[in-house]
Amino acid sequence: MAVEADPTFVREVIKLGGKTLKKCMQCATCSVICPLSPEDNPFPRKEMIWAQWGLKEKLLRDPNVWLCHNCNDCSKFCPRDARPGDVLAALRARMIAEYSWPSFMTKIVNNPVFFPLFVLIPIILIGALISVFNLSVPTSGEIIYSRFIPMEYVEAGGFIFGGLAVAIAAIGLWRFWNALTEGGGKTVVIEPKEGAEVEVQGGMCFIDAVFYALKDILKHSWFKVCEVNRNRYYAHLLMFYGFLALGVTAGMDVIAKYVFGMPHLPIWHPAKILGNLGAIALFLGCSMVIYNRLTNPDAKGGSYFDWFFLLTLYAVAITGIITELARLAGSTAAYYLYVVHLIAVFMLIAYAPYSKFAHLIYRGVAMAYAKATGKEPKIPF
Amino acid sequence: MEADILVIGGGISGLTAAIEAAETGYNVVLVEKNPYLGGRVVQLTRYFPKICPPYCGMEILLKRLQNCKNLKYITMAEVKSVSGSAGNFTVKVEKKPRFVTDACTACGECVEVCPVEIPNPFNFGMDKCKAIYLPHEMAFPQIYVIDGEACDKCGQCVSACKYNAIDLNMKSEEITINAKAIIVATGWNPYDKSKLTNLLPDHPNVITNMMMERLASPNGPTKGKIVRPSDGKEPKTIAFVQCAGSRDEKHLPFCSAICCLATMKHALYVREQIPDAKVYVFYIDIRAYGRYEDFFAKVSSDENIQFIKGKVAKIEDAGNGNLIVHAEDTSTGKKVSMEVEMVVLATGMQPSTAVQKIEGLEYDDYGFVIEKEGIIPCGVARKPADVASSNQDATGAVLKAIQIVRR
Amino acid sequence: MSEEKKVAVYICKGCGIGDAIDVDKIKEVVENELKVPVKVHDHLCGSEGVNMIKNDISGEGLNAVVIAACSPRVKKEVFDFGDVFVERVNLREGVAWTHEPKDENTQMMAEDYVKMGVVKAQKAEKPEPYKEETSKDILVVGGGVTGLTAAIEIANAGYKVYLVEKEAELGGWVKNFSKILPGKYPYKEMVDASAYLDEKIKEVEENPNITVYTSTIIKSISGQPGMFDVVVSRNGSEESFRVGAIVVATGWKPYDASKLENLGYGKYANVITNVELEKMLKEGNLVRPSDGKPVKNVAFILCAGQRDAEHIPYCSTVCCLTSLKEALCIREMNKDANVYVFYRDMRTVGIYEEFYKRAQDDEGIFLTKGTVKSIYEDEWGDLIVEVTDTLLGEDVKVRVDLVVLATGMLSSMYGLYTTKEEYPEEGDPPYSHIKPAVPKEVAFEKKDKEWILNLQYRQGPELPTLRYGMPDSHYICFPYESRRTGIYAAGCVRAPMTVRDCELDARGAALKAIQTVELVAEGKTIFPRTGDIDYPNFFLQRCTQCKRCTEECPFGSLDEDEKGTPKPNPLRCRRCGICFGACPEKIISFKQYSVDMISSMLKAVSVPNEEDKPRIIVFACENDAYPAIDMAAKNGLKFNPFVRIIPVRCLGSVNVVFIADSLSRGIDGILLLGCKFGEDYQCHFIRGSELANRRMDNVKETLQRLFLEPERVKLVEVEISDWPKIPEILDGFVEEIKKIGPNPYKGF
Repeated sequence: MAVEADPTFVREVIKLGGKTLKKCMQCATCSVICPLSPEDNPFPRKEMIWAQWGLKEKLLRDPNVWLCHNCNDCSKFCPRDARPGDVLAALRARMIAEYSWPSFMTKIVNNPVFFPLFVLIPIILIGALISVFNLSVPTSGEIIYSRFIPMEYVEAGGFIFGGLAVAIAAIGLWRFWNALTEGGGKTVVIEPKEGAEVEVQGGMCFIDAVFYALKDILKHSWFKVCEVNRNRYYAHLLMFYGFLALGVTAGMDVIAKYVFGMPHLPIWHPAKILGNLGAIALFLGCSMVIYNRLTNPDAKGGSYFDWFFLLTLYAVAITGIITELARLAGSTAAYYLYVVHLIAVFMLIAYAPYSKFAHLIYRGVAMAYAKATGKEPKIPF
Repeated sequence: MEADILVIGGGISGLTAAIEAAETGYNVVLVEKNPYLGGRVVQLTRYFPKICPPYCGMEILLKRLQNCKNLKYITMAEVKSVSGSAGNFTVKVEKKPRFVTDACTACGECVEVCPVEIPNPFNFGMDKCKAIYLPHEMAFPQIYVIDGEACDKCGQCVSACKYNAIDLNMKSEEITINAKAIIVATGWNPYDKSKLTNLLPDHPNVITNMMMERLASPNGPTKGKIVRPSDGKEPKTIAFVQCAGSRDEKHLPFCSAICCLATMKHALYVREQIPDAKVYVFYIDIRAYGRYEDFFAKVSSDENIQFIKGKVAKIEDAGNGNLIVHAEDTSTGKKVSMEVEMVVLATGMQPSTAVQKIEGLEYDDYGFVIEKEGIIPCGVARKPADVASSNQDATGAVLKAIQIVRR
Repeated sequence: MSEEKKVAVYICKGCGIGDAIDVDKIKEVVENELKVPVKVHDHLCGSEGVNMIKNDISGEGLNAVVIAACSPRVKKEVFDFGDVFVERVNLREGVAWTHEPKDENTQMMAEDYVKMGVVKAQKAEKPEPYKEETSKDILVVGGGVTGLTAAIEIANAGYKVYLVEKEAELGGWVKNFSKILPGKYPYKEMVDASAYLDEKIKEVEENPNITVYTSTIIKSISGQPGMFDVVVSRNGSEESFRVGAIVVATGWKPYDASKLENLGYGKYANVITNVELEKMLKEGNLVRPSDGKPVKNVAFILCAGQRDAEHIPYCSTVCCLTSLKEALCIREMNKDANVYVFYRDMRTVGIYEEFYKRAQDDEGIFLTKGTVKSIYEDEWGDLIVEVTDTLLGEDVKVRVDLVVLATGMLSSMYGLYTTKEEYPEEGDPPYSHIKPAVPKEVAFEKKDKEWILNLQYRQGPELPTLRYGMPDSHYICFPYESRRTGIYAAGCVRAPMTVRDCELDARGAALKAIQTVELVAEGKTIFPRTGDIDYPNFFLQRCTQCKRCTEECPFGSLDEDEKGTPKPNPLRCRRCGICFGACPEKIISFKQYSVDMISSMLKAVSVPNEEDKPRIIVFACENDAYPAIDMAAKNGLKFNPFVRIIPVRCLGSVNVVFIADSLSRGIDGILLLGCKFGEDYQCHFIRGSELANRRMDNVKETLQRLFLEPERVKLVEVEISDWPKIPEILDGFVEEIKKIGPNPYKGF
């Protein structure tokens, strides 16, 4: 392999949170400590030296980067304090930037300088909606949001921006998938020692692989293996299922309205209960993660990339809960809070392909790919 | 007490410094915290790369020491503080009670009657000795010592001693030494393995390199037979874990300079005693610097000694006394898991002054002593080093000291 | 010659001696047979016992006392009576603890030992030191960092220094360097080499105690410690002066890179050595030698021609660090530079791990383990380096402007004709540990043409070397052991080391030089018998000019006249007694250690005519074998009572006459216990045990002529830690002798 070390890429990774990467001395403690690291193609030791050399082409097509669940066991035991966990997190951010479309978006989404802009966008959009349709906040009566902003508008917005996000994510996914599987072209294939090219091979057909990967994701089996940060397993589980529950509730809301003609489900309705439980789970999960990041020395720090996603999600949970409480209390403040909530939701969904949210799909694909190619770690699920 | 030069520490560096200084013609006082001189090296079975016994050089050193009329040594003495400046230091020393006087002839009658057993400190507790004991065969001075904490003062030894050499009422005393220059040769401690939580440090068959030295030594707990502690079985497969604590920001951030070579030496101990044993050395970099490379070449040519580039980062209990070591062989990029019968952790050298600081000296962040006018560290008090370079350094330290004395 | 000998014997009954041996009987025998007073005491080392002896010394005017008690290795300070000769007879460890109590054979053993002690004490004479007017000035050879440091440190201790440098300027290699390694915590920041060196040179030049000779070579050095006469030649004009000791700090030379054509050296202009790179860095002119284009990408190949049986088999210790240092220098000069470092093992030993971390942190430095597969030039004149065995999971290829080979260091003594034993005119080196660094022809070609010290010694003009042409100490415990008394090597001449270690090494060698001038001024010897004033006398009237002593002295202390008569240099002497062991005419003796003395001791051994009472003489090296026997005793091991153990300074001092005398008296066997010899020899007089072994081989031939079985004489290599094997060795030999049968000369 003709290589050229690329200090620019090194600097990019450092900027994205991998500032310790140069400290690695290649002892491979990380690869051994990591419970997710496969026997034949362990990570992240090799990823660390690639990162030190700035071997962009190798790293950007490396599924191992996504197999990492950032438990930071490796960082805890790293004798050089090179924090491989942080470096891989930075690489994941860099990969999202690489594959999402248009790529400049990732750069600006993940640049704290533009944060006000990205808050301003939903504000302007909602403001425009209000002024164009001359919407006003009701001053009395039962708190029903559609009395302020008709639900159809919100739904339409959801479909447009959500759909756009999904489409963009699909593009990223497609590009990532190509990078993982195609040989030649502008990127090179990862060659394990024996020189055998990585192909979609191994004991499993890809569809099965996806199925099993989904199963693993739903069960959080990989998360569970991490030892240093056991709390993260529970926290992520709460966040994941909380978010999923909220998604299901939102979907059921729509179905209830258009299929069954029930625009407002009562609070005791199972779908609503599910949603409320989801909100609480999401809130608890986020709180745990944030607490962990602030207090646990082995999980400390995190980059803007991490915090942007985490705090957006937290904002969605908090504003959602407060808004609902205000509504139930009959306060008209609920309308204003609702707007804030919508802003948060917008930020979460619309920027998803460029934010850490995208890990959902990249990791899923990488896991399925690892299964299909027989490169998954042998762990006692 | 007055001295031209005070040497703190009676290990190989301190002994060398004290003797070289005395032989050059200066009045020297040597203080040592152990009940015997010789420090760490007398616990070693052999030196690399010659595989020669440290007692051999110790015999010469002790002979020279006894010929130096201008050298006084104090054992069981700990330096508490240093004050003053070059040319005029005042040093406070606490001399702990030995409970046995110079009248002791080392006949050994007392040991026969002593009813109290203690874990033998010389053998890292791998066997027992009596509360009154001679630390080892060549202990100098050849005077017994009583472990004051373990002794129940039953007085049986007092009546057994024909030479009235035991005084159970001995008290600790403070000594003040005025010296013109101070050589600090406080040496090192083996890094505490219990801190290496990922390496199963509490398993009996996970031993340290220093414990290996005692195991292989004819005056060790097994009379020199290399067996694993859990069941006394002769290990046929042994894994050596290099950099156990060294080159590690969470433990010893520096390289301990000697562990690679010590491990090679241990591999030879094993191969000599157990001809069919297999030895696996897991390392990050083999640091056989200088002509030590010859030694590495010799050891690595043994096909039963295998060197694997990759640090052992995890050890598991296999249940049957065996252990499973895990590493990534970074030269093949594959993980290696191996079941072995014994594991030796190459724990590093922690400067003694990292743990026990002497007031009035300056230290760097790792606890090594910083040289300043009139206070000269040598050996491992200055930096991690092997015996030969410690002695070089100790000899050179004398020169810096006599510059102060002569001016 | 000597005053009347007044000897008294003191026998201790303590520590079980009185229980095992009939002490009063010994008193009787010794008093009757040897006519010396004997006193018995229960506890000789107690104050009462010691006072008794002290009173007798002053009251009776004793000048020698025999203390028959514990081993000479213990209670030394208690039985020290100043000028009075003390002979310790080891009844405790040597007899009581190791033998059947109240047994006839045990009793005979104890009796023999006491008698041997008495005759030894009777023969001992009072030594007088060899005192001459000596110089306390010190010569430092070499004006690099080591030499400069040694000169400064010696001068600061108040001694005069002559500093000789062959180049026109002081500074050595570091003159050509741009940066040097950090010398103190946190070991991260490089130090400017010129500033560092200028300060040292200034200190040397301003110090009134230092006389600097540049552009100067040493024509010759003759004499002995304290009295070395040095002749130097400065630009052709000769000068001479006298010094007491010498520090050799002549440094290193780079390995000849032209032998590294496989790495492209000599083939491609842009493949350079680290030494050449230092020069470029110093000049601030980082361009490709081929076309003068600025250098952006650089690859360092570590261990170039090192750790390689074809080139330098050892590791030069410094290259990992200096390469990292140079990489950082390149990065400082060019912010866009990419520096690749391909290493085998990153050997930033000890505290210098910190500097490795420093270099790792630089974003333009890329490190991996790797082995170079090939280096070639592409059509644009760039170099392509193909590297295998990397940590990147596959082979890599980098395109660079410059390849830097970290070639190793050779000692400046490498290739010189050093000593006759390393390069004998005929045959192979006579000692098994000697490994000449270059073939004989190469060394002989340089004989009398290239030299460093040009010692006018019978044994050769330079310091003997250890391996690879390095005049290092062979002893781990004693790094400044030198086989040329008063001459100490320091710095890279003796082993490859960093600038910082050179500084420390310079101090050590400097101290040893100072110590030498102080000791020899008093007529005292240096290590390992430091302080010994007794030196060998040669009764030259009977010398047959056989040259054995001059050849065998491990320290080259004897010169020769034209006829081959030895010319002793007592201040070079280290008092091992190898010369007296070598002399067939028995003309060499110390006042307190002589052929006569040992012969008398042998005569004092009883030789009963009974078959079940064989007599074996054991000569045991006092440093290793003898303590091993003591420790066997301490551990309660037992051995047969037929051996009579005589400690000797070195097995090399065992004269074949002892063997012949003993056997002719009916002694059944002779066992020599000495240190290991060969490549990893442990003999503290270098070759004593090997010489003894060779002499015993010769003796065996003699024995056969006398119709005695050669197996009656045996040498066993014993280490000090071999004490568990002592019974096996001693009893085994007695069994062998019993099988052979009694000495037919018994009773004659």
